Formats: sequence, C-alpha cells, structure tokens
Amino acid sequence: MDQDISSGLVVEGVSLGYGRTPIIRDLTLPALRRGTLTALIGPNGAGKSTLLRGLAGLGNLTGSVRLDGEELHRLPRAERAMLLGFMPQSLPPPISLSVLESVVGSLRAGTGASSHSRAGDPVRRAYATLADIGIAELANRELSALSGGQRQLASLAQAVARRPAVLMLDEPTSALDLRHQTVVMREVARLTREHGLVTIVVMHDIALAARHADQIAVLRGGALRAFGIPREAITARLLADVYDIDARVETCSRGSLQIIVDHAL
Amino acid sequence: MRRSPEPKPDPMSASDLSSANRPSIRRSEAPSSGGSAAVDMDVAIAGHRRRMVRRVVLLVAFTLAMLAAGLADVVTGPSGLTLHDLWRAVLAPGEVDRTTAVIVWTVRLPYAVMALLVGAVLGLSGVEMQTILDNPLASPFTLGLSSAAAVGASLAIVFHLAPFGLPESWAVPTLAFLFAFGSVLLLQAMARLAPAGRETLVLLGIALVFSCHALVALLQLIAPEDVLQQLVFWTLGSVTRATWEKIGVLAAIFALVMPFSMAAAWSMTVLRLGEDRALSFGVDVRRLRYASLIRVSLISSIAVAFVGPIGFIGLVGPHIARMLVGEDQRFLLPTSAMVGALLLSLASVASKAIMPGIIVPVGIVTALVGVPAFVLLILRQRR
Ligand SMILES: Nc1ncnc2c1ncn2[C@@H]1O[C@H](COP(=O)(O)OP(=O)(O)OP(=O)(O)O)[C@@H](O)[C@H]1O
Ligand SMILES: [Mg+2]
Repeated sequence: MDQDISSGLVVEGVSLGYGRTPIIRDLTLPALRRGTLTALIGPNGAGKSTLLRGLAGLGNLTGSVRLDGEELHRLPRAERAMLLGFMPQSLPPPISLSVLESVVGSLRAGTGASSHSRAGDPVRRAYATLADIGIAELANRELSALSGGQRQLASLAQAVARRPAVLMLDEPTSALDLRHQTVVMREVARLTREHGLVTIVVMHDIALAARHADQIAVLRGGALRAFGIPREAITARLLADVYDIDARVETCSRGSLQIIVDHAL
Repeated sequence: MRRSPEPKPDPMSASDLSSANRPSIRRSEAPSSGGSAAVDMDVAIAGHRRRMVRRVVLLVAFTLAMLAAGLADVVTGPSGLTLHDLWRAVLAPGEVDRTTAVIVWTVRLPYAVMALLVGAVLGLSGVEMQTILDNPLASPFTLGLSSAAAVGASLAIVFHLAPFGLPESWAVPTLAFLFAFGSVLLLQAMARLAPAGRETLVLLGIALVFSCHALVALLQLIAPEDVLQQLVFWTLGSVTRATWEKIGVLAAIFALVMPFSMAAAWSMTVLRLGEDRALSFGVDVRRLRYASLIRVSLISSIAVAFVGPIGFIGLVGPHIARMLVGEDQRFLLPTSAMVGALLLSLASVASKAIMPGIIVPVGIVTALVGVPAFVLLILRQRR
C-alpha cells in the first residue's frame, strides 16, 4: 500500500444531529491513515453512533469527509456505497433469511450492485467472508434461528463482504463471547492491514481496544476529548474525566493494557 | 470453529482493482492446501442451492394449484357443467349449444380469471406494503384503499356521476379508482409532513378506514330505495362484476408492474435487515418506498375498483407466503401473488357452494373463511 500524505480518511469540521438537535459540533479528527484501525470510545450517549452513521452517509452531516483527497459526500450514492462499509449498532432482525442469503443480499442490493456482483460469484464471495470470520457453519441457518451473538457476526459479515475501503463498525463485539471478541478484532485488524483499509470501530471494552487498535479516539458530549496511540491516550485521569470513574490503568505481566475500575464517581 | 487458511494472491485481483485506488478485501476462495475448506464451501453452497430449488419447486406447485383451482372455479356453479363441456366450449365454441357457450365465456371464465388476477394483485400489493412499511398489518385494505374506493363507488351510484361521459358500468369503477389511488397519494403526502413516516402512514390509513366507513354509511342513509341494494352489494366485493375488458386492463397493468417489483427484490430483501443496513448497501430507501407504494397502490386500486373491497387476501397471503419461502423477496413476491390468487380462487369456488343456487359475494367468503384460518395460523406459529 502506498502511504503518501493524502492517502487516508480526513474528517474536518463535521457537524450533525437529529432534527434541530445538534449532537456533534464542528468535530475534526487527525487524519486516519490507510491500514490503521481506530477505536472510537466514550460513554453512552457520547455521539459515537451518531458520528459513525454520519460518516457512513446516513445522517445530515455537514463539513468535510475526504478519502484519499476525494470528498465522499459529493460522490453519487452508488460510488459512495462501494467505498463505505457500515455495521449498525442494532442487530439484524430475526427474520427467515439465511445468513448466506443476507450476505449475498449485501452484495446484490443497491445501485452499485452490478459492480459488486461482477467481481466473482456473489454466493462464493459471501461464503468466503463467513469462513473468514469463523461462521461458515452458520451459512444456511436462518437469522431467526440464531443467537444474538451469532446475528452480530452475520451483521459483521454483511458489512465486510462488500470489500469497502473504509470500514465502520458500531460495537461489533458487544454481544460476543471472549473468544469471538478476539477472533473478530484480530480478523478486522488483519483485513485493515492487508488491504490498506481505514477502519473505525466503536467499542466499550477499552482493554480490547488497546490491544487491537493503532489509535484511540475518545468522544464525550459530541466532542473529541483525546486521540492517540492507546498507551498514551488511555490514562487514569482521562478515564476519570470522560467516564466519571475511579480506575487504574495497569500493564499485565504479558504487557497488555488492563483497566481496573474501583468505583464510579 | 474452523479458520480458513492464510490468503494467497488470487487471480481476481487484477480486474478487481481496476476501479481507482480502492483496495478490496480479498480472500482465497479455493485454497489449494488441505481441501477441507473447499469441501466445506461446496457443501454449504449445495445447501444454499437446495433452498433455492425447494422454492422453485414450490412456485411450480403453486402454479399448478392455481390452475387447478381456476378450473374448479369454472366448472362449479348453479348450472351443471362438466369438464368435457368446458373443454368443447373453449376449443370449439361452435360445436356446443349457445347457452353453454354463453355461460362459459361470459360468466364462468371471466369470473374465474378475475378471481385469480385480483388475488394475485392483492397478494403482491400486501407483501410489498408490509415490507416497505415494515408493518405486518399493512395491506390495501388496512391502508384505507378499499374504503376510499367504496366512497367513490357510492358517490357514483347515488348521484349517477359519470366522469368523462363514461357509461355506468365504467363510471363506478373509475370513480372508485380515483378515490382509492387519490387516498394513497394523500396519505403519502401527509406522512411526509410527519417526522416518523412509516408508522404514520399505517395509522393514517386506519384513520381513513373509519372516516370512509362513516361516509359510506351516510351515503347509504340518504340513498333512494332503488339504488340502496346496489350500494350495499358494491361494498361486499364480488368477482361477478368481471368483464373481459376489465380483465384486460388489470392484467396489462399487473404485467407492467410485476417486472419493476421483481427488479427491486434484492433492495427489498435487504430493507428487511433494517433501514440503516439497506442505506449503507447503497439502496435509495426513500425512492424504493415511494416507487413501490405508488406501484402497488395503482394495481390494487384498479383491482378494488373492478371487484369491490376484498379484505384479508392482501393481509394473509403475504403471511402464508413468508412462512413457505422466507424473506428472499425474489421468491416471496411471486409466491405471495400466487398464494393470493389461489386463496381468492378457492374462495370463489366456496362462494358458489355455501348456498345452493346463490353466489355469495366472495368478499364475504374471504372474511368468513379467512378469519378462522388466519387465527389458526397465528396460534400455530406462536407455539
Ligand atoms: N434518533 C434520535 N433522535 C434524537 N436524539 C438521538 C437519536 N439517537 C440518539 N440521540 C441522542 O444523541 C446522542 C448521541 O447518541 P449516540 O447514539 O450517538 O450515542 P453513543 O455514543 O453511540 O452511545 P452508546 O454507547 O450508548 O451506543 C444521545 O444523547 C442520544 O440521546
Ligand atoms: Mg452507539
């Protein structure tokens, strides 16, 4: 991947909200380079989902969002959808559609569909994605017959299968067991590095974020409170500040960052 | 839990990256080492194909069942008619006696064809409305379309209105259509003003049902004795109003609409996964909703204008179809249309069997037979 200066995602002076209620005001992020994974953390109601939806083109966002120098929100819907992959925070409903069918749907639907399905047999591609995130055996199970965590994995597959350049995942591991949390984050990190994606993952588990993210962005009240590599951004002071908790940030014997919450302030 | 082997450069990459600087997520699809992953893939894809084949078989079965029901509909009736008579009347009308030919060509066949056609229209309209409004209660009936049509028809009957100088047999359906289609446009415009569009539309539709019922009751109250029966009869819904011209109009519009619905099948399938997902896949959800609503309102308004209000088919047909083939709209849309056609055709057969010598309006039959069937279905599903 060529890593010239203009390559990556630039978010500048972005504002958005719901109706007349502003949630995010004039937010600017340091450039997110290709091939890096950014964890977006912050307390409930901080505006993480709002920001991610906006970046994905689902909100009434104003400001500038550029990928490799190209203004994303000026692109036609189809082209933009080809570049952006978005996994919403809500789980897909338990309907009678198989996991494989739902992923094939993500490849065949929409106006950019023809170019997606041109790149090989959609069914095979959909299956390969399921295999990648370790749910190949769920391929022909219906969403209505899955557990919550399994549906979350299916939802991830729908976003990833489209091979976007920017991958935005809203709490992809919130319903997953310990093993799947690690598997999913490792797989997302691998895709990010191998294919030079710009990946933004919203999550609440700071230790997990610190383990897999190249940088962490901390949001509260719609404003950016900290940004940097995990080891520098995550401090006890920040946690007290942003989450109103009394917590220790420690390094475990294997070297990974651990958060121990003593009590809520 | 299996992990697929590490990726290797795959031959697709060259063409794949043609679109500018967009890198893609690529995985080896058929790893050469350790064929077990490849075998898994073949097994899974075979399973997927079997699901498809099962649905295609179901579609074929329904086509045959529809034909059988239609045939049964043609041969049942007050004046006895054998399959043999029918056969001769259709293939060689000159060789049968005049009464048989008239019965077959002006009564039995048009009624039977109209029942199938209207059933299909209601089944398709119902399923699309339920999908785009994300509401299992949506149907041409519950959105107030049938009730608005009844107001239009009642006005035409009571005041002998003849728009565009049409003969009476066309004036009533024309006014019914204008009211039905107009009501949907009105609902759509009102729902646009409200912030939460989807639920508003269904709520406004139900409100419309009540107002229309009141209006129809009012018209019945002031109607002169001689048209009262005609009025009441119209609101019952019956295929006995079928003529070949009406069948031609409805069939033509249906044939025009169905391909658009099928073209939107994938978009509607992913809409079922949630609006945000569909949007992120590049579906223009607003346009999808609007186009679909206009499309199905158009055909169901025409259907209702020709045969009067027929409840239940548009509500139950989609539910039965969903149980049979699931949410893949490529199969759900045609299956729902076929279930609707089959149901209304069977109801038409039943309408002649309930009271010997009398054709009970099919609208009554669908409600009488449909309600218990629906309740049973729901109870079974919950268990
Ligand atoms: N549809 C909506 N209409 C109005 N306000 C909303 C809507 N959705 C969210 N909000 C408000 O916007 C703010 C940010 O919400 P958002 O969903 O972005 O939070 P979040 O950071 O994702 O929180 P969580 O960690 O709980 O998912 C909250 O104060 C919330 O109440
Ligand atoms: Mg959120």
